[in-house]
Amino acid sequence: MLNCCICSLFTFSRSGMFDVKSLVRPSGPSTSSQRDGPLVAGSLTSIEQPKRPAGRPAGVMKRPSNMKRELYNILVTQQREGKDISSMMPSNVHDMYKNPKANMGKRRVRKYQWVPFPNQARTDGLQLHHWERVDKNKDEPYCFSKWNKVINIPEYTDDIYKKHLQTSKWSREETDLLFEMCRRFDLRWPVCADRYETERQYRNKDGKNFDKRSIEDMKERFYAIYSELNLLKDPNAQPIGYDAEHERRRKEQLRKQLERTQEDYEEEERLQEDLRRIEARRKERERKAQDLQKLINMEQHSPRVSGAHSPAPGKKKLVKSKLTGTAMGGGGGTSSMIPADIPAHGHLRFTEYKSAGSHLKSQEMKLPTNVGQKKMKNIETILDKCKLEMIPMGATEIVAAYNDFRNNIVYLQELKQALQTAEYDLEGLRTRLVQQGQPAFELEPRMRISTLPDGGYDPSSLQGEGAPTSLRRITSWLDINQPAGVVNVRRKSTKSEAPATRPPPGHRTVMPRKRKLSVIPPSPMELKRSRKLTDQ
Amino acid sequence: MTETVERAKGKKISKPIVYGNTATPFGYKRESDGHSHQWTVFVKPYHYEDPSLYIRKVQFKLHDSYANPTRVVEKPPFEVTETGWGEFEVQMRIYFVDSNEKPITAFHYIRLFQPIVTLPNGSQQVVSEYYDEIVFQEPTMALYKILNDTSEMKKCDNKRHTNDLVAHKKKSMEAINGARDEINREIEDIKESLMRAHKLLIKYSEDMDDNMSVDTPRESISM
Repeated sequence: MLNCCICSLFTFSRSGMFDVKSLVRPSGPSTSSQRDGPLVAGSLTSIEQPKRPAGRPAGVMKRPSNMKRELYNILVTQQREGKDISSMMPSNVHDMYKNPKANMGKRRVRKYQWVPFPNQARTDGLQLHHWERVDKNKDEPYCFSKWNKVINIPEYTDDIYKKHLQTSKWSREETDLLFEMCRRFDLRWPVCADRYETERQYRNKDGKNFDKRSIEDMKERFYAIYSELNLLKDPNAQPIGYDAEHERRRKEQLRKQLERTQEDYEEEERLQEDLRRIEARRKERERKAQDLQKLINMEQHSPRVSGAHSPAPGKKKLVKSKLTGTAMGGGGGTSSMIPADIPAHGHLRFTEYKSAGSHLKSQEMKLPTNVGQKKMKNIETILDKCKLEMIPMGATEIVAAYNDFRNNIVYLQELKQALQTAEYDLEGLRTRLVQQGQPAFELEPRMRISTLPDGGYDPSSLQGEGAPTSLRRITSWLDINQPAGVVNVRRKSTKSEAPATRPPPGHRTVMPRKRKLSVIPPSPMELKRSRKLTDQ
Repeated sequence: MTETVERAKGKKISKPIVYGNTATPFGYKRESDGHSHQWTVFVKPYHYEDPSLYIRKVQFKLHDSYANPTRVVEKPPFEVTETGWGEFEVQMRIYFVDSNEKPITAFHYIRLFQPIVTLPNGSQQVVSEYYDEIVFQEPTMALYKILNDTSEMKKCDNKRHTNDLVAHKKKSMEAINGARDEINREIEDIKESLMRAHKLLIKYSEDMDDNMSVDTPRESISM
């Protein structure tokens, strides 16, 4: 395009009719340039002289709309310096309507003559005429005849047919007709099938028995024979595979897709939506169950932390435990309503002294630094309520028991939090079920934690079905995050309503969101899937 | 520790010690400096033994308001007696005879007002004692030999310390174990409850999913 423009520009400037200068020069006061150059839009109709924009000094051209800014800057600078190089600049001009008539050149027109010509592609010997340059080589074949590609449809003899190509589905006559059609219409299958049908009816009238054949049937037969013949010629030949069954299914699927009504479509959308929701819920449940399992299976005793205790490694370990601490905490922050979303592994990690050196036993009771405020507070509260010393004596057995106890305080705090969340979840679920008109279910008293009185249950409440098996005295003193019930339920429902953006794997992918009939990749898996869908 | 020292591999020796303070009130406030109590902060072995066998010195770091707050006691008894008017935390750094064994640091908050105990002779005194154990993990061979030799040691008896530390220990142990039993029961309870709640949750959420696909109006699909 650009090349063509440049060349045309050059042509024009040579003929003195047009040049870049006049193209890029502002339609200034000079009337001559208006006359010489192409017409500027509005210059004929506008009575007033075009106004110069205020910011541009006289004599500096306006930047043509298609010109690159860099190029324009060079032009302008050169112009200011007195050098006008505008004629050397290639420019891309789209306003082709401004161009004057094409220049035909000055040479004499070559002679053509009306002559008959042989068309090698024809077999019927039809003689046609065309215009041809006089100086053309007469021996050259007709240049378009080479496009007449002939498909080589293989042939079979009676012998071969009897030996290899017999089948119960196709008679010899039918096969012959099929191959005739293929040859005649160059394997243009829709045409072949159409003509075959006409021919079939015609021949059936003569008392013959030709079955109705679909394109797939025809293709299947044709390619089977083709492969067979190829194999006879060359035993190592690659057979041509044609999965007629697959194709039939594919077409059927396409047809169904095309024939869907708006209602079908909406129904599908709905089902998919449901499926997504169910999947999302299922995943959520699985995750919860997993987390819960983790929480429940957690050892009640602080996991043994291996590691040396000399100043440097000690510090390193501290950093590490801090890191894991925050990472776990981060997980819990996103949604407080899932039971096990609590940083479930927040067991206290007391410093262990393993490397050589001496220490005081009482130092082993020091709480790790990554313990959160809440846990610390809870530990303090429980120790106080249980009338235990804040710092018991540094005897080996006492230190071990004391650390274990504090560990379990933290664990119990997590369990309490998890149970509370589960309780709220159950409440929310029950509300929704009731809204759906389903019968409500009862929560066992032991599943309730929000109603736990301070100081635990009265021993009398430990009786009956589903009653708690402990007084939950310590549990009642533990302070946990109170999720606001209403907010919690609402959040939950919004969450479940919003389905996962990505459909789960194994999800039917065939249905496009828009009602658009696109070519479906004919993968057998998907066909199977979509068939399942439509069979519903 | 740059030089390699031979250590008793896999050995762990605990030395029980007691540290704390005693305090006796003057009964009045001294005019000159406002001090009202005389106190003694001490570190001593729990049993009858010569601590200087393994402790080289103890450095007591008193409150900064004392003249020469860092007091180093080179031989037993490792104690500092002072007068004062307020309680504060004293830092005690215990150095061992083998300087390859790093010193350890203990802290004690000096008590001036309680706990008041009645001494066998009938007089009352503020005595705060804390039982602790120095754990020597793989001590140096030199130290190991010393620590392992308990021929000179005599077991502690009632007269050794003001408070009955054995009884105290027993009481603490019982209290903690009681609390542990209780919390373990509650943990089991909550765990079991949690599992049941979760089962319920799963059961009804699944119902919910089933319902959802049922109550969606379903038109017959004509395809």
